[in-house]
Amino acid sequence: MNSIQFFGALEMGLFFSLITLGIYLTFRVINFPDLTVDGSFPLGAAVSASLIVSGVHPLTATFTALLAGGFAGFITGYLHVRWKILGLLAGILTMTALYSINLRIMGRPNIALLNEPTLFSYFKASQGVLIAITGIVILVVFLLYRFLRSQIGLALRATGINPRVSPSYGINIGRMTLLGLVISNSLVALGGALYAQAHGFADISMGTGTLITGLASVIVGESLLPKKQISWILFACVLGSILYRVTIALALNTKIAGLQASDLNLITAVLVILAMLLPKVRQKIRLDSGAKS
Amino acid sequence: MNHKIFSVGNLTLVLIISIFFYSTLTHAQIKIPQVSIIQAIEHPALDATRKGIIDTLRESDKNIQIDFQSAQGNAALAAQIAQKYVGSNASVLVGIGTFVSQALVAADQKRAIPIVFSSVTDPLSAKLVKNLQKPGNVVTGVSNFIDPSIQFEFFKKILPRLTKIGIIYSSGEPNSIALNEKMRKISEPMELELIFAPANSTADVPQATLSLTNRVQAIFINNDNIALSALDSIVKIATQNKIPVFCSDTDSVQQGALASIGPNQYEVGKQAGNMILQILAGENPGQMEILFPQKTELWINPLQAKVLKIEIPLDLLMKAKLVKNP
Repeated sequence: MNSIQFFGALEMGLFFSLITLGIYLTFRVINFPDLTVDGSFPLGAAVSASLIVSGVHPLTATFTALLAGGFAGFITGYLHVRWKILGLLAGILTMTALYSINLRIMGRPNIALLNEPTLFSYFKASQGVLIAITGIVILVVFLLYRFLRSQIGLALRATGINPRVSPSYGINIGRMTLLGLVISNSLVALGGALYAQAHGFADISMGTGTLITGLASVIVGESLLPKKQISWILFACVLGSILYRVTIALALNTKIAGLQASDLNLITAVLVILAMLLPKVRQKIRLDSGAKS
Repeated sequence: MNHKIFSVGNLTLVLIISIFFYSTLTHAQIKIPQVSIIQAIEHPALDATRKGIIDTLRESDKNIQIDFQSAQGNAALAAQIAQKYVGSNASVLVGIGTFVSQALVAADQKRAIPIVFSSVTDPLSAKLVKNLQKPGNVVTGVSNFIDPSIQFEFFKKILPRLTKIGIIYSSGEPNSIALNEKMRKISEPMELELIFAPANSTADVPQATLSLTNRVQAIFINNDNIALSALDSIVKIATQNKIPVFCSDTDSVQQGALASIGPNQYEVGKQAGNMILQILAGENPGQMEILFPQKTELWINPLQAKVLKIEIPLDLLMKAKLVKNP
């Protein structure tokens, strides 16, 4: 692996860590498998790219993209909380609708941002994008950390851990689920907006597999840093995202065992399955040996 | 203890990563020209283009190392492959498809490595180049665009009373949207009415076809990956309704399209391959004009013409290549 590839993977990992953090919020904190992200990632890219092309300042464009993502999350939450539509299905519905909406927003399937002013135009130095995204990720992690330790943040975490007992402490489960989805999808859309600006295009197909890569990153991070404190967990999400990208970069370089790039999806799925099974298998072994002794 | 650093999961991960590292280390580097190709997705038309490029490079007397990766339609993967290529100091980067070419341009920040794109319908709106005659930068390539008026004239020769053509396309493909706009502009002065039927996936294609059956005299598939992937269902529905299907993709005639006129994808690849050879010989890509397909190929399926009871003019039959046993 060469240095450009390594720093590239690092940079990609940092971009996708915003998505990983969003997926951590839904998947782990409020315990909601949210497929909306497959639509809100390209939504963020679409909104920011179309605004930038029509002359809006990149900062305003990025912020609008974040709001749009939050709104997408709100729709999923509303469908689930108000109308009791199964969470997985609510996410799929919003994601499906977003495909058409993203096409409407962009007006065509691909908007090029090469040579347009973007947030990253201000960072012209070598590795400028890497420095900028590192700063953004640190800021987001810090804000999330403060939020998750606030009163509302604690209520949010309680919602996922024990939805039966939480209401007796005055926590409104429905409202917390909505809030979690809004924040999560805002983060994912922010990731999409930044990614499109750094890599020069928004494309309608870029959302495919967002959830599963994010999930893989969360799980890789968790298995490497199995801690309970929220600060460590947030750090583990970022680390997991970077490691996932570095692993892909490595996989692109190898020719072992007849592996090729098209096996990537299979490897990702197997990685997630293994990481989810291992704790259970370990537990079972421990229980069995406990029963014998 | 539940959370040990040396847990089974961690050790497996470390093992996997170290195997990857080891195998990359053993990969020897030799200093010969390296052409690195990235393809948007595996698809017969794009595969043919790639084959054209690789055959041209192999046939030259130069010793060239060829790298190939498919982005599998995944933008993030395309970016990582592009970074890998830029970092490994490739001599020429090749993008087959729109978004992978954009990913190459984004990765090649210092504009140090020449980029040749191929199978991009509209390189201007994809912002790959600013000018078709003199790209000026390190990017040049071959567009797969051919003038739709040539295609429409060909259809009119087969069906003289043709006024309404149905177009099945996927709303998510930049190439198809670019072509639709060009076709719309050209169709008006030619007194043709185009009726567009979008399909978001191959599963939507039969319905899109059905929506056209009582409104058009012919169906035209112009270089659209989703429609081409579901061509069998289009041909089946159209034939039941006695509607001929035209394609831009020459292979499709074997599958029951009445006729096709379009770029030979393999030849497009050869054009791109020759551009790469010129760049390797020291030519400046910024001075190299964007090329368009030199050869359009005519293919006709006489058996299908019989089924549809369409008489094909003799001069066309002489010019075209005929499918014997579809």
